[in-house]
Amino acid sequence: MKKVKKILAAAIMMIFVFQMAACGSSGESAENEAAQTPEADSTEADSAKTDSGSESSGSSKGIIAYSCYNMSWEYYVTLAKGIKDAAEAAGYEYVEHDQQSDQSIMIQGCTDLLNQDIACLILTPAKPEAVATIYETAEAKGIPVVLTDISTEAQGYLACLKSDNYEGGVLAGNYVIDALAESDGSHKAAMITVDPSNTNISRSNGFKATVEEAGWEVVSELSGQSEPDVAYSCMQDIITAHPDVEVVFCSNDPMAISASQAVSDAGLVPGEDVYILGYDAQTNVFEPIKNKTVLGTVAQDPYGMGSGAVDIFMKNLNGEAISYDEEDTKIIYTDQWIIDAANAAEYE
Amino acid sequence: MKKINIGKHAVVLILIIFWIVMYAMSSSFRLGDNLKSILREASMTGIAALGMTFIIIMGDFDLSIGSMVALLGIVMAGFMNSAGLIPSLVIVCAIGVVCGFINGVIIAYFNVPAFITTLGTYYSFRAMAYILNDANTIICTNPVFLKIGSGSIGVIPVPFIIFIVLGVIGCIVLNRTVYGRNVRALGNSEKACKISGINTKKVKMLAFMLMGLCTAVSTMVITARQACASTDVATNFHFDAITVVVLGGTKLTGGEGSIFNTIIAAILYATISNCLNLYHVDAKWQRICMGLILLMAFSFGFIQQLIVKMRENSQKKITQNA
Repeated sequence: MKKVKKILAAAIMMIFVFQMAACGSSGESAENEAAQTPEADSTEADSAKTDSGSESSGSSKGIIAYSCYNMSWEYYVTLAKGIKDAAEAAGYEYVEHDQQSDQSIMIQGCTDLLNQDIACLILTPAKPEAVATIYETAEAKGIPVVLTDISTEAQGYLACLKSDNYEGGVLAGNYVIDALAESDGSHKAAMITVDPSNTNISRSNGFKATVEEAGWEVVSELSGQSEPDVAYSCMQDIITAHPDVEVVFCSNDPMAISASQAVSDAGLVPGEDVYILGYDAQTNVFEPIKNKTVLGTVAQDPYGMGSGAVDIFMKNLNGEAISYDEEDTKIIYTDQWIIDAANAAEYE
Repeated sequence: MKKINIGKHAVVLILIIFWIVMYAMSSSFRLGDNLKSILREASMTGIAALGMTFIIIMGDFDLSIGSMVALLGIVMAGFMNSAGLIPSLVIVCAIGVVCGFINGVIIAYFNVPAFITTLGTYYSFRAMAYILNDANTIICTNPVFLKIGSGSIGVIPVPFIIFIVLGVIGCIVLNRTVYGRNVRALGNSEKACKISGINTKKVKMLAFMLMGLCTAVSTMVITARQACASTDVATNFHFDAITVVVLGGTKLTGGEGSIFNTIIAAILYATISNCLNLYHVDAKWQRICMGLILLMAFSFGFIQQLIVKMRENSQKKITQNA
């Protein structure tokens, strides 16, 4: 029992000592800042300084935080880089958080970020339906939230920057129609889609509507579940059922690459018998595009999305009006374009 | 006065030191909102970990609880829109107990190891959630229900109150009732229990039903916090719960453990992940940290034994010298 008492006493002492150290050092660091010598020797003083940095005009104006769907995807790494560059250019500190595709981690991480009095939260939600509580916390703390890439039904964000996926599908459709206008092929198209989501449905619908309007026939629509190996077997099924299919539109690049592999394994020549289109313009699709085994891909602009999000925050901060592409949902569309053999080298 | 064994409550000491250090180091940690958020996160895994403590004391474990959360969440949110709040909460508890009952019957009466049984139900519960709802997400809008996840009474978050109340009940059941004694006895030696006339099958089955009930309450808190029920929720939930229980010093071999330590461990676990977030540690490194913590928790018993041995040796030397 004596021992427990001793430990308790030591613990209470430590609380006081640390508390005083923390208070004392924050006072010191304030003086330091006034004297233009930002170096502080103890760790407590350091942390106290960065913490008080958001209020006083230190080296940084505050923190712009990005909470990302999944940082192991190249697309989001590019997006994060866009945010980082723009944030640092504007004099803000940049921190990021990885949701690892998990909604619980998303909520916990965003709450932790918001509790640190950040200047702005930029968010790509892993689960758009579960964001409502984050908006609530952000609103209570008066921190603006900017969405990138994925929009939510719930309101509470400043703006949402994303690609117009329907328009991307239309872009791909028009490209196919133009590129193969001279061909005497069957004018039959097929689609390999990703997991059912709004993003993907608009992508597919845009493509379908465009080619059908031009007199093409969409003979098959299979879900590749975003996975290359599933897409491979989808492609095999498509060739078996419709040997004369001319164009296959895949909703992402890895699936396009493996579909092209399936075509050549089936004894046909990708780029002559069957034309394949991808989406996203990932690094590893450039080689197949140059080899013409993949016809082309729809490029999105994740970097522009990221830097655009910071711009929106700055505009809002300065009280400038933000111009939305869709007023009621606060959506701003970012650029998309086709990459094919002709311009692949330029964007690689 | 009863002597308190510090070795047994090491997790309390670790938590106190950790909080003191963080309290002093980070002003973000000190904020009331942050502390509240820690308690809230601790409650979600903590409530399930209470049930898991019983299971692990028995020498088994339950891998199906994450999938159970998905299934129960979908059922609850579905009923809430048609049947109202209270009936849906009752229904979700009932179905949680039924899920636990299924696990318990297979383990106790069909003699299938808990690992295999709960692995089986781990797959099937989530699949059932998919079938019930076509992989859609159901949004919950009932404001009273949402308070379960994000509300607070005074300064204490509602989930934490639920957690503590259940913790106290669990503590009483484990330490003061015949059933609790049977659970601990079962973990020590199943043979001895059988010989002394304890209905071991019933004890096992009841423990899994209790686990189901705890999971149901956990589901309420998680769903209310996320304001929606979806099929891909809580994928690592069982590992979190097991980690918390082990961190609390409950032995995986069974027989020994305490609800109080589980509660403290849940808070410690939430604090660690909160601090990793506060210092913006990269997600991959966070996983490594969590892995190390789990390993440390497992080897804790061994370290303790080592310390005891060393102390004995030094005492021997002293007496020899004398």
